Amino acid sequence: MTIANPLQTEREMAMKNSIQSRLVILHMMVIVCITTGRHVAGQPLITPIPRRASFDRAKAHLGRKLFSDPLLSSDGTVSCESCHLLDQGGVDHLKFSLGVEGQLGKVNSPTVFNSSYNFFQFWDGRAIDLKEQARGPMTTHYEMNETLPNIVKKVKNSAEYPPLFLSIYPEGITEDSIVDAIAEFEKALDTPNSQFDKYLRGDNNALTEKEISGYVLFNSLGCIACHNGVLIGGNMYQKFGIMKEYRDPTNNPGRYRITGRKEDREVFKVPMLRNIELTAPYFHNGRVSTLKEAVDTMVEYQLGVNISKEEKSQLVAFLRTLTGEQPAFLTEDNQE
Amino acid sequence: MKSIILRYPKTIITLALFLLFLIFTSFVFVKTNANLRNQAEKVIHIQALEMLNNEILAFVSSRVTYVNYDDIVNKQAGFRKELIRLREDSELRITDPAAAQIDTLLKKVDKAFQAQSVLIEDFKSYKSIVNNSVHYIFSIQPRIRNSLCVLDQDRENRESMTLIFRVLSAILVQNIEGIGDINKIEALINEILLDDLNPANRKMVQLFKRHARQIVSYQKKLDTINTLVNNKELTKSLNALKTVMVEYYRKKGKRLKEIGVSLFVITFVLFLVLIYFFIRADRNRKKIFELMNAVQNSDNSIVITDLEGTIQYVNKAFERNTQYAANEAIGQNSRILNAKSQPDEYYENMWETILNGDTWYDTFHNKRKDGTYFYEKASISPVFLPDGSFRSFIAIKLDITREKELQNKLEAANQALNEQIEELKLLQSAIEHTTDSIVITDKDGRIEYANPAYGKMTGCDCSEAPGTLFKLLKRGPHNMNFYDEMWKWLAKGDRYCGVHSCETADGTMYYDEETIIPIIDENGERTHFVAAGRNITERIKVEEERLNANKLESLGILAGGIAHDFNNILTAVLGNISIAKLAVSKGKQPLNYLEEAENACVRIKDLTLQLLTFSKGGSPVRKSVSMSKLVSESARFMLHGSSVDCHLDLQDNLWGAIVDEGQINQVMNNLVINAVQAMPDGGTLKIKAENRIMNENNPQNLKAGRYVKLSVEDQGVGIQPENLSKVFDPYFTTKQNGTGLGLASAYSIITKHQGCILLNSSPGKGTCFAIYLPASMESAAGTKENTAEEHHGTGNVLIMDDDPNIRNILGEMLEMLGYTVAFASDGQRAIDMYRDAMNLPSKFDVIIMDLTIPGGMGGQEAITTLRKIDPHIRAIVSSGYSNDDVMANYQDYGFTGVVAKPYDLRVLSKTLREILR
Repeated sequence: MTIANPLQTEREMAMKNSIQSRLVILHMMVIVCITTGRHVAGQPLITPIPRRASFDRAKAHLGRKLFSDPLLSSDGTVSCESCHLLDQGGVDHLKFSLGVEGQLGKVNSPTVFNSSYNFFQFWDGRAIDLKEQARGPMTTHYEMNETLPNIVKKVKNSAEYPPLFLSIYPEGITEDSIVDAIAEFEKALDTPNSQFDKYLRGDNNALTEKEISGYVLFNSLGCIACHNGVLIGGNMYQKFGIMKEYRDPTNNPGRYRITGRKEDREVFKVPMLRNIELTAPYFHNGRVSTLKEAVDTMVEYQLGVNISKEEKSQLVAFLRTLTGEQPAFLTEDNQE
Repeated sequence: MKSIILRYPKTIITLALFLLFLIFTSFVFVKTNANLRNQAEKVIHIQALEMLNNEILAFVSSRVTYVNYDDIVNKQAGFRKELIRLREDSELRITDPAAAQIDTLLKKVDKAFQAQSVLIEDFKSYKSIVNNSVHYIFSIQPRIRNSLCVLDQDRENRESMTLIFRVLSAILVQNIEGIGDINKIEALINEILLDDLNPANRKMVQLFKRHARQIVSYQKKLDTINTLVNNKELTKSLNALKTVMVEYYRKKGKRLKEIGVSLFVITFVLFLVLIYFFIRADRNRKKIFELMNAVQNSDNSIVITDLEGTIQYVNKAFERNTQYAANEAIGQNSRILNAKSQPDEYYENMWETILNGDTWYDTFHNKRKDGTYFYEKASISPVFLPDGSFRSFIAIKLDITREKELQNKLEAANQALNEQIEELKLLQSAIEHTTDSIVITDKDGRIEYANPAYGKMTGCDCSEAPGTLFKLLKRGPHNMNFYDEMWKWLAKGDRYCGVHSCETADGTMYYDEETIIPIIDENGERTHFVAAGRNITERIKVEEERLNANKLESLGILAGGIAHDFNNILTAVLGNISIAKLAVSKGKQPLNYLEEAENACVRIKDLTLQLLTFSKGGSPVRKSVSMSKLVSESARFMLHGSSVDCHLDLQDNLWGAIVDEGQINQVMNNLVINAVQAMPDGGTLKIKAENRIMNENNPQNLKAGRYVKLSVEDQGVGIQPENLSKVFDPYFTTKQNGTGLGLASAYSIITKHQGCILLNSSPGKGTCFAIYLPASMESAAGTKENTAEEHHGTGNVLIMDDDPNIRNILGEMLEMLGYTVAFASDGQRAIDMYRDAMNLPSKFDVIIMDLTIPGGMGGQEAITTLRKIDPHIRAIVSSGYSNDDVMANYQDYGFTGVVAKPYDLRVLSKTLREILR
């Protein structure tokens, strides 16, 4: 198709009409797709969290023990749970977490809930899976500040661990078996059956009208372009400040630190929106502490659109429906 | 096991090879299979990678708007996982050059994938941005149009509007259909002028422009990514990898397949060979089975041993014959059967023969398990192998124990027969040469055999004798009754003995002592007679002469003895008469000498009486006598005062006998005296009397009938055998002062009583005389003793004697006479008893006292005391010492009477009657 000379009026008009009609069709199509939450190929853009997570129960029990054991830190003061509080949505509600000797972290602690669904771990996606991720905090000097060989030694010297390990891992206590147990525990930390998941599964009464309006906005505004999949996020990287340059007070270079490509400056993993209501403060730098502020930031820097207060309120209302049931394993485990 | 291998070497080797190849083939087959599966897996992995790659590429080139990125994330994760799997797998075989190539390619793929992943992530980010902006500009398009269309007449607006539409349409075309030049769109965007627009529209269009620029800018990036991705670095690497891998596994598989096929062929060939061997072995096995069966059940013992003789096989007959079970015998040396009765050389010879390769035949004397022996006829031969060597022997043996035993028996019987023949020959020779005539006749008296002596004796030609009747016996002067008796005798089957007077052929008389024995067969039938004859004419003559001489000799001895006795007594008679005459002449009393002479004459009378018993005139005066009384009294009197212990054994209800009492008494006395004299050192004398009924043909040659048997047995010196025949001869004696008449007269007396006297003696042990006397038909109890001269009386008598026998005899005698008796063993006791009873009604009327009591108070001492107690005491002294002064002058010593020992009942009764009167 060639673009006609703008000065040829008739043709312009004809084309204008033809374009107009085609645009209308296209737009209609897009709207339909977006409002139903389906992309063109037919797969839903957001899928509910499976009702039952698959994990090894025995390993998960052992992993939980390790997860909350400060033995894994150099001075025995910090455990994984110190920053990922299991009764607090998997976060500590601090901008930056506190490591050994009160050292402050450099990035906001993301939640451990549903973390197994992340395509890569950490804000910059430097860990391919949870096992790799688990090694990070243990060995970071301002977090748990311990070496893995030491941890193995300490776990081996403890009274309770060796028999537990031997009953599960034929090789006994090794670096790998320790992180494997922790990762297995984290797989158990799923939060299924949120109101929104129920809605996705066909329960139209699960959401209020306002919440549904928020969901429609979430789609039509294009939030869904990055926040999709089971976690509503967590499956791609994106630049922070697409439409407007974002001034990060922490000067976090994002993925650039990993890849060294200039394109990757201020590029972070798109965080999940599951349980977002519980995991304030928000963003990698924990700069905002309310959902409203977060929505404002996203609309301004990422979407580059103007929306009304009413619409923002609807979006926040939708986001609150993403809070799921607390992990079943934790309640079962507490009962045991 | 070893033997099996040796037996079927080909089969075993083939089987081993077959199994080996089978295992190897299976191994290769499994290996190939695994390889193929592995290859298939690898290809599947690669195909999965290709598929994922294609999907990822499709994702990149797709023009859809919003996408759930979980999908692409999962695909990439899947790709990563597959790749890792492949790498881990191939790393195991890194030494293989082809595998190393695969590994390099895998690394290349991984690198391409990493690069692609970065592009994909960028694509996702950029795509989102583009999508959002596209979406936004279209969403604000109506508003822009509305705003601008209000001023439709405004040229600027229209131009802007046109531009915006052109941009929109360009973006739409570009975005949806993927055609168009981004730079042109960028130029169009730049053409949109904001200055002519009112502020409100300007802001809106400005936003539009910003988003459109974003679209253009990111679309450029997306195009770049598209170009890079479509470079298909990864796809090429994957293809290369696939080609190399498929080739690698194909080659490998092909090689394995070739090996597999060749192995299969070999295995199959081996299998066929094996089947061939099996069929052949089966055929052989059947043959061997038949042979085995034949051997196993053969009646012959069959044993197979090795060269040392160790048993390797035995059959059932062996087990039966030797009692060794097969499992017991196998492994043992065949020596276990050796009875060790055959010499070692015998076995050495056998070994030498068979080790030489020859067959040995002979007989073994073997021992069974239970130790019994048996004979075996054996043939032992080496079992030759095809090459002419041998490693074993086969022994085939037949139990010939029974045959052997029969043979032995036969031999023994033969030997016995030979011996018998020899004996018969000897006997025949003896018969031929004996001087006795021997004739064997049939049952009718027809001669079957006659020896030369017969001919000589009878004067016939003995060669003509067989067939003729045995008439020899009828030649003599015997009447027919004689022969009838003989035939009766013989008819009973008894032996006949007799002396016949016969005539020889020439008429000479001779005495023939003939013994005829009937020969009785097993059925009791008489078949033959054997007649043994001896001419005893000469012997009879000699015996007659000798008998005469003997009679003369006896007579001589008798006459000598009588002469001697008579001479002696006559000496006394003549002497005393001479002295009496001398005394008369000298004026002295000659009475004593005359009395002596008279006594001597009485002795002569006695002697004469004794001699008379030998003569026919001395027949016994017989009457019925109680034998028990006779024997007991006789023994009692004879034995009194002797040191001999007497056992008197008299049968109850002993029969009486009609005998001359005096003579039988004499016989008993003689026998007892002989017995006592034969036992100078004392001993036991057994006198026995018993009833006997004798049949005819008794050894004593007595008439049949009832007899009283008296026997006197001593334990004395016995009689020397040479004297046995002489003891009954008159005047034969072995004693210094014997008369030689005792036993002779006893013999004579008994014989005259129709009895017999027998003697049995063994020197040093003793002699037994047995007398058989005919018993009287009536009982002897009624026979009354003549007691006319015995004086019966009454009164209490105290007897004092140390000897209990004498006390008893005396007591019995006195009681027999009617007296009441009491006993005292010595003087003191007698005094006490007498004193105690003095004033009682049972006062002793008379006391009879022994003169001397050894170690006690005698009669002489006692009477002094008793006289003091009772001055009127009536006391009788008694003693064997008749020459004692007290006995002679008893009244001087205070005694009333005297009785000499041995007691005479008549004297005693008379004395008592006189004292008590």
